[in-house]
Amino acid sequence: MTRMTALPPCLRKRAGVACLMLILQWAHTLEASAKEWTFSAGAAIVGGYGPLSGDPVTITPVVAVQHAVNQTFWWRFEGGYEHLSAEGSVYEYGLGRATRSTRARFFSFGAGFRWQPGAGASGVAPFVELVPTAHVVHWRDNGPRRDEESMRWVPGFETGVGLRFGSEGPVHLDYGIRYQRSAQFRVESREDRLPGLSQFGLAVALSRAL
Amino acid sequence: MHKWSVTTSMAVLALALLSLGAGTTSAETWIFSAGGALAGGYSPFPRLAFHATGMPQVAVQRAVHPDVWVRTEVGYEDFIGLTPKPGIFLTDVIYPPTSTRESRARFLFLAAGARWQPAPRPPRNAAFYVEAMPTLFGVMWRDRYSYTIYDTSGASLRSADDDLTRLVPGFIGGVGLRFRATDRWHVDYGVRYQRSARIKGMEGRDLLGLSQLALAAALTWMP
Repeated sequence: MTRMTALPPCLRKRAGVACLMLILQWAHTLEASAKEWTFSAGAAIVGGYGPLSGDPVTITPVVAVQHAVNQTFWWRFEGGYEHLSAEGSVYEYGLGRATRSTRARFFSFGAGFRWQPGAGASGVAPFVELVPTAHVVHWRDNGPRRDEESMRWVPGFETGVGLRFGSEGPVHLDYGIRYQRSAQFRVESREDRLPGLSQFGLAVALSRAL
Repeated sequence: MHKWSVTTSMAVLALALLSLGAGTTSAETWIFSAGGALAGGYSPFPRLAFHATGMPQVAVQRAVHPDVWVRTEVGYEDFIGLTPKPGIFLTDVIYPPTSTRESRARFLFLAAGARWQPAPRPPRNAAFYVEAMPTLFGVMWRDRYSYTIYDTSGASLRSADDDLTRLVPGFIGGVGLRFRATDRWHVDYGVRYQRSARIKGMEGRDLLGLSQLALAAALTWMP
């Protein structure tokens, strides 16, 4: 401030205008960057997994970050988790009835795109997305003759269509259907491969501009 | 080779040469794309089928009109492990209980045809496309089938092995959406159907042709 008062009046005025312009530019940059990134968190109800018929449906939490390339095209980075299990009694020769529990956990990480035009005055806009994913599968099988645990990674993808609700505000609601699939994978105790995920789901998420 | 097989082969090669041939067109009229598809299973016999598989593919397009492109595409599919179709029991298709079967079918295809594809422009940045391509499929089939037969003289091991390589005609048709990311980078996303003719096997044991629906996506670049 001392320096400012030391400046001649004409320069003081110009410096003030320059500062104001910088502040406006900074605010504009902030506004632009806020529109470029969004964070969303939600969940999907998805169908079961063939080898583990204990859970007919399961809930999958999903988080995602999106970056706008233009008004309608977004890069999408997504992570999800799915837990499936089955428990029951089996007959083992020489042991009679015994308990066997099997559990599979799928962690998915993906990077893809979403096409999502602005909602406009109606406040509703469609979206289409495709995200190639890597699934980390943690498989555990505890039985009377077998106690096995293995971890594998397999490729896959997630795709979905839906609607985004919310017009101009920073918070939106996404609602749609999705399909996720992963490749088959092998576990140590079996000669054949276990089938991968192949699930349709109903997904809902809240998203906010960062 | 069948008459229409020859015709299809000639058409594919002519279109491929047309789309790839050197011309006076500028760089903006070329598109290169790479991607993949999730293709449905393949059933070489009425009761046996391979599971769905991934299918990598690359393509080159050249504009012959603002909305019409000549497209040449190369792709590959690999099927391993025949299993009975849903609703069919193992005992219905594999006669002896002690049999083992190792089967593998690989398809390498060259497709050349046309795609109607207007440029995706703001504000939507998305446009439909429709494509149709006569296709040549190179098929590599390997089948190792061994089984034990029990009769009055005891057990005897038999085996039936097939190895063949064939070239068969077919076609690919698809619809989808092209999304614009930047002026040079786009993403294609759509469904396609691909079909091939029957595959002539050894000793009259023909294999059924491909008949698949696929979900396809590709990243495209316009230099």
